[in-house]
Amino acid sequence: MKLAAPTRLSRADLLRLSLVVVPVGGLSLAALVDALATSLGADEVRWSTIDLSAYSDVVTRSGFWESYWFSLWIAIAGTTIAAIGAALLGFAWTRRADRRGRLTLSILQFNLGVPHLVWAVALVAVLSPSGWIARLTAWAGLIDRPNQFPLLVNDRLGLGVILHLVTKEVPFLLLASLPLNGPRLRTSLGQAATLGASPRSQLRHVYLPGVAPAFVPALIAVFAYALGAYEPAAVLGVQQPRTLAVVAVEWFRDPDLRLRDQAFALATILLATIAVAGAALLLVTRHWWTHGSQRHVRVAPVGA
Amino acid sequence: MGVGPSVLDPKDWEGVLVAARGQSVNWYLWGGSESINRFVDDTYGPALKDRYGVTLRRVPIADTVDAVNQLLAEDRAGTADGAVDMIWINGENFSTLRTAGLLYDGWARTLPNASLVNWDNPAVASDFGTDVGSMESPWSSAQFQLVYDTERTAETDLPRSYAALLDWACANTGRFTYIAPGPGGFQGTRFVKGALFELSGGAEQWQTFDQTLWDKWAPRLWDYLEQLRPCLWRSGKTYPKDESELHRLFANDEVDFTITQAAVGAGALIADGLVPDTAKAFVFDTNSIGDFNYVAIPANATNKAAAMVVANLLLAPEMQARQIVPANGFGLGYAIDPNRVTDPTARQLLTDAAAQLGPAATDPTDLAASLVGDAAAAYQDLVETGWRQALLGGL
Amino acid sequence: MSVPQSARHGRLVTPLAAVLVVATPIAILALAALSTRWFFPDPFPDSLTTEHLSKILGSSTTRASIATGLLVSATVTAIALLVSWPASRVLARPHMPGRAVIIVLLFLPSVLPAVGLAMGIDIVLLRLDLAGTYIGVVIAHLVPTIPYAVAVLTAGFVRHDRRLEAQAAVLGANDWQRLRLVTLPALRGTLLVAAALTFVVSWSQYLLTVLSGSGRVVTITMLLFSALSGGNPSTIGVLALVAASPATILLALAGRQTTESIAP
Repeated sequence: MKLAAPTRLSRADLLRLSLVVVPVGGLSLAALVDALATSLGADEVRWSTIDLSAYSDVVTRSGFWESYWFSLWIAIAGTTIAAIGAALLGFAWTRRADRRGRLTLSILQFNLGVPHLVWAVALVAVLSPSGWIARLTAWAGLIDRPNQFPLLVNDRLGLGVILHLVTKEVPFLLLASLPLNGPRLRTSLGQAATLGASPRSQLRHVYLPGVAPAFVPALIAVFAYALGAYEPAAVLGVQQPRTLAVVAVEWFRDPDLRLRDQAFALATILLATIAVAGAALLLVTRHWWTHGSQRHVRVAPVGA
Repeated sequence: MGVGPSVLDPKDWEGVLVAARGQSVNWYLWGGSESINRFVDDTYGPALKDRYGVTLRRVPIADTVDAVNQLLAEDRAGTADGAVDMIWINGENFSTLRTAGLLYDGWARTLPNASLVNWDNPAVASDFGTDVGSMESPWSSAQFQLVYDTERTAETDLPRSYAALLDWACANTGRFTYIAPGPGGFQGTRFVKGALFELSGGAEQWQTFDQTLWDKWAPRLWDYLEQLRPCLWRSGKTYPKDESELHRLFANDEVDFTITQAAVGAGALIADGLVPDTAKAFVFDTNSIGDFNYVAIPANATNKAAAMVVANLLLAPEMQARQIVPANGFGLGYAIDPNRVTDPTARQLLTDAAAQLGPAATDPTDLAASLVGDAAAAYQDLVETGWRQALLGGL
Repeated sequence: MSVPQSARHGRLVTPLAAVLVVATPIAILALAALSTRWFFPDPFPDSLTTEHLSKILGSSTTRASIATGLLVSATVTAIALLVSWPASRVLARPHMPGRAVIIVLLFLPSVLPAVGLAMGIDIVLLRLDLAGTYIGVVIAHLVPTIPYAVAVLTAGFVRHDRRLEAQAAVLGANDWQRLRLVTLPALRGTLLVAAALTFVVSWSQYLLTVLSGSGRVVTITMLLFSALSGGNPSTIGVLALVAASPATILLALAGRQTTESIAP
């Protein structure tokens, strides 16, 4: 790096940055403020008229807590399984990054491009009690009727939704965390192996701290998606309990405007949950940020 | 706001036709059935273009409530030239829009073909207990029926009442279910209302809203459904959320009955490839709820004249004849009263079409014998939220 | 952990497993699209037909929704790349003050609940009288797409050797010449990946499109959702395939370049 790096932002730089920050951050913030205001019963933002009745109405409705725990269960289980899967696969591929690893990544990348709605529909076609796997099972003579097939989608445990999240988010986590510092990490893993570190210890002390700066934020995004997404739960879920996201959309689209306030109250409750979970995740993983081989930790651009 | 006369008089039909020429109609209708979509595009589209110079733009929606929301949003925003020109509608959605004063009035009964409609029939003139006035023009009629597979179930074994259904279901555990009442589960609501009618001894008393009547019978209704529950598919722990899911369960041998409301019975479902071709419709001896469905024009519609032309075309005898033939894929019944059709050629068309209902249809005599009107619109919400709380206990 | 013998045999196991998991569900949708009345317990349809495929692809509604989707997603891609390019250049500087703030703001939509974000954006657009318009939908789609474009382009600029541009400047190239002759060719691959990713993310949106478009701007995922309520497996299959087809663009671009450029 021979060129002198500018350390201060010019006015033109600020303008350049604002071109992306205003539409994304600005609109998100505006949406957030509007959501909060609506849930508090205000048409315009007038904080003097804060009214918590939408929240109390929602929380005291029968079935609210069941839906809440169900949503949380799906989000936690989906995120945890996806995290473990992505960490193990990523670790294995980094250790011997070769053609086959790259090939697999490319295939998974295809899955990343498939719309959530399509993927959910496809999972129903394959896994429902009269889906393709059930038909193969019947063809093999193992079952006679669909009701003998285990319930994997549209089930009360949310297995279908969890499976959807895992199959869609493992590729996301891999692609989000691996590629940029893959080669660097491979070298470190090789060094650690030469020094006699067990695979387990390589995973814990080299790989995880190495990917954490990208992996942990991606994990928070996965949790947020799992908790607040509509399509997977709408297609793969059950009538009861429904996830809060599905209920929120239904209420939002109801002609009754009072339900709209409550829909935003649900969205705000989801947001608070994500904030708590995100903070907890950062806290739990803080040793990866502070310890480990700092030389390889940087995910953010380090220069050519 | 565009060309044409600023004041449109529905009574001046020639004027309407002139104003309609060159307009496009944004018709919002439920788009879930490919065969209905095709029927609308292929049957009305070319006729409108050729005869009236009107372009039909079908806007498919997942639920009619989306169109209602659109209108409510436009109303709040004060939009004068709205996006919606016509909606396929009935029941609660109609009553919401009517109450909000968002519908164009004074046109439906003055359409030339409105003379073929029997407006004296309360089932036509009142939509779920709400007076349709001159705000809705009928399109077709529907009646609640069950569908079975002649390969799997013998006709003599079919249940013919809700009481018999309970026995049948518990003798064949897991082989029956119904659609969860609620948004998208309109037919499930109708199934539950039929049970309410049978338990309470008749449909008549439910035509007008009476809270005490509801309070009296609701517990017994939930009682009956609770008794049915353990015998249902997946022990009644979950229910199919819409028609399509129930059709899928039926077609794939998970349950033995599905639900339809088409005049052609299972015919349209067979033509659409949704169920096996051995499927056939039947009804209970009584309490099979029938009604009409309509098109309405919003008060802020941009192309009212063209929308009226479409509504009038829907009632033309040749189009009515085409809509009940199973192969055409629409399959709902007549909106007009065939006896009012005087033109002999048109009459012949209707008679011929009725003869083509096919083997998958319910016997018309059975249908007529079991027909009852729907309950007042106010019961809709009570049934839906009440059911959700009593049977599912959830949000 | 090194077992060379079995590793050689198992060389293709992971890619094959990935193909199986990813491709089977899509293949079943394709079979459904090409058959009618394919019911339990038949593991495969009796016969294949393109009747449904041609009917649905030929219908004016399907075509209109594909055209709408192409228009929306192409506009979104163009705008997202245009605004992300200069910003990414700044973000890629070795010592950029305030980078964390920018990244947090760009990351915001990813950690908001998706339904809340879509509902909130709809209200904002209603307020601006843009709900239900193409422009409204395009604006809404910029929220989830720009972060991807910025991520890919920033990673590209970081790898990009700026000395080339400096040399070109020394040799007397003006701004435009440097961009056209040096920077763009060097970042062609990155730009392509950013475009493909932005396009696919926009194309795949369902809820955001329904709410911001008030049901008036109809794209293919909306037709698919509507078809789900009709339950015809062939129709669902055809529309699902159409909705998934841009993902193949990503597959075509797959390779070292792609996988290396996607990072938040």
